Amino acid sequence: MPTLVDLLARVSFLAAMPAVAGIFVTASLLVVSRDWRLNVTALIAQYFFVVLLLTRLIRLEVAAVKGLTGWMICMVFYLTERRASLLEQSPASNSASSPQRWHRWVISARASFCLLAGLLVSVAAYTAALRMPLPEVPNDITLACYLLAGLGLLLIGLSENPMQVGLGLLTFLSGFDLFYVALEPSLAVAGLLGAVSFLIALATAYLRAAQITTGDGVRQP
Amino acid sequence: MPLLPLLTIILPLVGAGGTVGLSLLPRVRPHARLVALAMVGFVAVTILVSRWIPPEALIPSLWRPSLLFGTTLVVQNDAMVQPLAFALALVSCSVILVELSRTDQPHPRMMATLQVMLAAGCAALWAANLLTTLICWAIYDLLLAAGQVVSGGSVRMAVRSLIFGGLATLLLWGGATLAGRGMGSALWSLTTASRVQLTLWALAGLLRLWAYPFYLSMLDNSGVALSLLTPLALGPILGWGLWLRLAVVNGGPIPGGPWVLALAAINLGLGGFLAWSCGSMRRSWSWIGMAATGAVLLAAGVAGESGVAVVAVGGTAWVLAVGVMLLGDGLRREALWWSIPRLLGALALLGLPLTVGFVPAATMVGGLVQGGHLGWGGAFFFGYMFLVAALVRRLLAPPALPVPDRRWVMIVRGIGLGVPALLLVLAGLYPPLLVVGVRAPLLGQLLALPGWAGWLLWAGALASGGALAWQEGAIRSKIELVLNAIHDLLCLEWLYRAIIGALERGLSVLWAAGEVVGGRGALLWSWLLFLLLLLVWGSR
Amino acid sequence: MIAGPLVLLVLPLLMAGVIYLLLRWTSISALLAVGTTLALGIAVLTLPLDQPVHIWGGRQIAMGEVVTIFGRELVLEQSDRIAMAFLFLTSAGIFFLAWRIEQQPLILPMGLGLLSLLNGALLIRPLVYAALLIEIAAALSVFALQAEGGVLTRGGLRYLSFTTLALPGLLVTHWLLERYALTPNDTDLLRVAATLLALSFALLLGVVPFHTWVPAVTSDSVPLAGTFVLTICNGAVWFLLLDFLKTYPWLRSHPRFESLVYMAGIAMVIVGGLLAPSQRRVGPLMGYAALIDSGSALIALGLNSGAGLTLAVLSLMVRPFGLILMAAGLSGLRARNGGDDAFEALRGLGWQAPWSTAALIFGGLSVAGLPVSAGFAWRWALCRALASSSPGAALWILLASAGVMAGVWRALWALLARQKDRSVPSSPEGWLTAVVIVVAIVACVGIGLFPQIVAPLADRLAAAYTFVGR
Repeated sequence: MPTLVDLLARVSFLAAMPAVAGIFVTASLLVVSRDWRLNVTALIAQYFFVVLLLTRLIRLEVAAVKGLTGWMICMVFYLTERRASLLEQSPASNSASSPQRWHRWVISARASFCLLAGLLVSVAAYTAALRMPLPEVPNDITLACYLLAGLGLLLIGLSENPMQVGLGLLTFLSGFDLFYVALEPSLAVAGLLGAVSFLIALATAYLRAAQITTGDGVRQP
Repeated sequence: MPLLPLLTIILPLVGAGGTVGLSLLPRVRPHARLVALAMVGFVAVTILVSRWIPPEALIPSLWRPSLLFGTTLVVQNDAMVQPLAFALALVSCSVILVELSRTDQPHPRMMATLQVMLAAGCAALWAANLLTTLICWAIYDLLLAAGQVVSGGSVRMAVRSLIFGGLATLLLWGGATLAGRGMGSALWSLTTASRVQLTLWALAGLLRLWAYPFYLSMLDNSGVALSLLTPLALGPILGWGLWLRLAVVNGGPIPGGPWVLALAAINLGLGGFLAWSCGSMRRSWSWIGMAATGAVLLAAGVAGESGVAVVAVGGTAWVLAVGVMLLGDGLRREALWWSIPRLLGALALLGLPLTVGFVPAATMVGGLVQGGHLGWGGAFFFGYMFLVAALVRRLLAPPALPVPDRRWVMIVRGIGLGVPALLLVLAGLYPPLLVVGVRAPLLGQLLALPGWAGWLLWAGALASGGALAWQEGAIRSKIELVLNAIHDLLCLEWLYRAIIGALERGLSVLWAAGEVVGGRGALLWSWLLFLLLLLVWGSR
Repeated sequence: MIAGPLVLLVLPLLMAGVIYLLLRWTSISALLAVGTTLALGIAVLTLPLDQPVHIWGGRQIAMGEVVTIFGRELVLEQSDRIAMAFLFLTSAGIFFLAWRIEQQPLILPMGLGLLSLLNGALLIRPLVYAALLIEIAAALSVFALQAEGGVLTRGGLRYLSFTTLALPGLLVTHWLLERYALTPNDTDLLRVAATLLALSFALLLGVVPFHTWVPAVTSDSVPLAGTFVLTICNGAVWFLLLDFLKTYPWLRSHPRFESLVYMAGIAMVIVGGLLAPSQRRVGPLMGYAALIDSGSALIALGLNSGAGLTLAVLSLMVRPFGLILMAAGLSGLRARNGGDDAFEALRGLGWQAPWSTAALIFGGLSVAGLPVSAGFAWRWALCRALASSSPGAALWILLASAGVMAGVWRALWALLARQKDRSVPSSPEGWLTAVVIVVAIVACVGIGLFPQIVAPLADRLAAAYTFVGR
């Protein structure tokens, strides 16, 4: 049975611009989407691509552990949001209304704004990567770092929903982590950063639970 | 350990604790007021004795390190403010005596408040430097507000007193800040100040005196007897203490210049009119006090180098006269002698000869005539005219208290009302009796001060006031509506409401801006503002 | 032999677990929390650093012993002792009030856990790990800030967001400074490090325009938990800043240091002074008052002198008196008003909750820096220090104080409005609550009259940071 490390080694060919492109797509999806399923999936994929890039900077095993931490965070989000959606579901609602809501969101002004803002930030990140390359890391990873940081910042600023903010913080931290492992390969720091990410996930899940409990869980369009 | 200043502060506090403690025990509850009387009486005697004792400095708290704070808390039984402190203690004593004679209800909370306010008032007057003054003022303000709330007074006025008191504190502190490195370090007696500092401090003094337009109407909407509210009405004593200090700092004259005199004249003129036009008997006492404040301040302003003496005597006369007026009762035709103290108080407020109020009044009239200040002379004339009419109206009002029938009640009430009234007369006959450390003019000198023109002006004002009082009923019934309208206009409540409304509108713009920047998208707003700041700073 | 730093880290954590299990018995939990923090605070102040002390059963505790965990050292220095004592004793005060004010105070176990992390932040070397521990503390504080069963608050999330954004700057700075040690000719590294450090601490301290988390924390979070964040977590950040300034003296001698810190402080004072009187609720008013106080402390630091440093430390020591009282008052009023602290909604409530009202007023006086309160002593000293060099700054501080008091007087006006009946019936405040609040008020006023109780401690602590001339 191949281990996680073996699997990562097999897909290591993606650990370049394809991973950066993947990060761009997943982070943009997080900015635009308000569907928790899509968000969790995007986050899982994002962590995958981040881990791929990490394999170029640190040992495979350490990158794998970081990936595992990320996917556990995704699990926390999934469980929280699943519970929230069960509590929020009213008897009158039916499956036919969900695609309609998603459809409405996609073409809403807010989604357009988020998309445009995301594109702007991505352009800014690209420009920053060209003009201010980060030390000790290759250019494509610089771009990935700026993309994650910028889009994460945008995600934090655009919403007050705990889960959206949590996703933004984790995206931002992923971007920083990608850069910092090249500067400081210490395991203690890596462990602490992982603990920070996990605690952020727990905190946002706690707030989301509080939001649902008090009936304040009306989804923002 | 400097005993004297310590006793004047500690004893009333002990008395307050004892009063409240005893009032909790049903058996001894009626005697709780005796504890208050004993303590306050002892304080009055102590302050009187301090006249003959050299000043002693008490350091209640040594603020260390001195490099940081620059000074420490110092309380000193200064001869300059001794008359004010004595007047305060004497009036407090009188309040308790009158209350003892009036009712069997002990009112422990009010008694305790009175004593604590006496302690705070003494501490504020004895405060030897600016830091101690600030702290004592703050304590006094809190107690004053608490006293108003406890007495069932208007919450609006309690909060307003806190606001004005706080503003006065900030003005005093702000003025000290302009002194530079030596901010507030020196004792009052050694302080020197610039013109700007003195101006700010003069503003603080006006706020403390409850001068127009920063007046405070203390005595409305309360179910408590007027006599018990007397300590609450004596808040301006802190203002008199400050003006005394300022006059010393300024080398004799009071600081501020023409604008202070103009305000003083306005207080005198408007105070008199508002006192006469006021419909409520209780509220009119505030206007009477305000008019008297204006008179003393105007007198101090035109007195020049003798400003210190005028403020010392005038402030003390103000405290004694207002106290006696509030403690006294209306006209009792079957026992006219009970109205004598109040009459003496009224005469002292008007500054008539043979009362201590004559010192500032004669100085004022003499100064106005010699200086040729027509405008202020007009304010004096009309102010006094209306003040006389208002005082006559109050003096002739029906009594609220029953005639005392028991001998000890009569004696107690007689002492309570008589002693301060007697002091008003004795000090009027020999002004240096009251003040220490400053040269107060003698009666003969005072009589010569106004000159013929001044005496005529004064007599005219008094006569006009008398005529107005005589025709009061006829005039008032014809112009009541107009009078009320003018009264409300001059009270400036509408202006305060307009200012508050305008402030609220202005502040709501700020609030909205704060909500936008601090609401949704706060993080993005923060980064946007940061980038703007960077751009601005980078372009410089 | 037990290493002192380990005790300071592990004991609060252990007690946090115990207290969490006993939380339904509030009095016992509070007693344990207060006792633990008091004991540790006194121990860290009094036990000597240079020799072990016998405790019981032949065991010894050595406060000054260096502990190594995963290759990182935990060192208790002289400056850290007073700082940690301040954290412990302030926590004891908060827990003491939480006992009577909060229903099931989650702040008790969470506070002890946070204390452990913050102590670790002060003890650990190199400083980079302190940033990570502070970040973890920020994440944990969300649990304390969000009231159980209460409406979702944005304070915790916003505080976490800003702290997270500050983290990269601190971590990268460490690397830059290590690089500079290897290539001392590359002064660009210092410039970038200084910029990142300034940005990070601006985020952590709530410097304008990154100040929005401060009023958000007090706006709708659990008041005492918010106070914990603003006094203890914020205090740890301040001590971290002072540690940086001590470890890297070139920071303080940077030509722009004074002006930058001064301008940052002035901006906070002005923004706080403008926004405080415009608030319509007590919670944000408290936040802006804390912002002004923090800005004033930065102005003191910007004096770049021994006295300025002492004043900055003194401000940290007296700030809890005011904020704790305000939080206690706010908590009591909200509990009796269905969680609403808008001025209009509080009309007449002061008559039913007089002690909470008194706590709010005295707390407001202290945070505004007006007499007679603990905050006045330090503001007096600050204005005196500024009077000769920048009287304008002193006047701005006084104006800002007036702004805060305007908000407090508006609240008092509403609280004391005479109303026949209130729509929400409220239970009377018990005598024990009254006693606790009176003790806190007496402590606040006592420090205001006798600042020599804390001022010498501040002086000693400032002397331990030797980066300014005395």
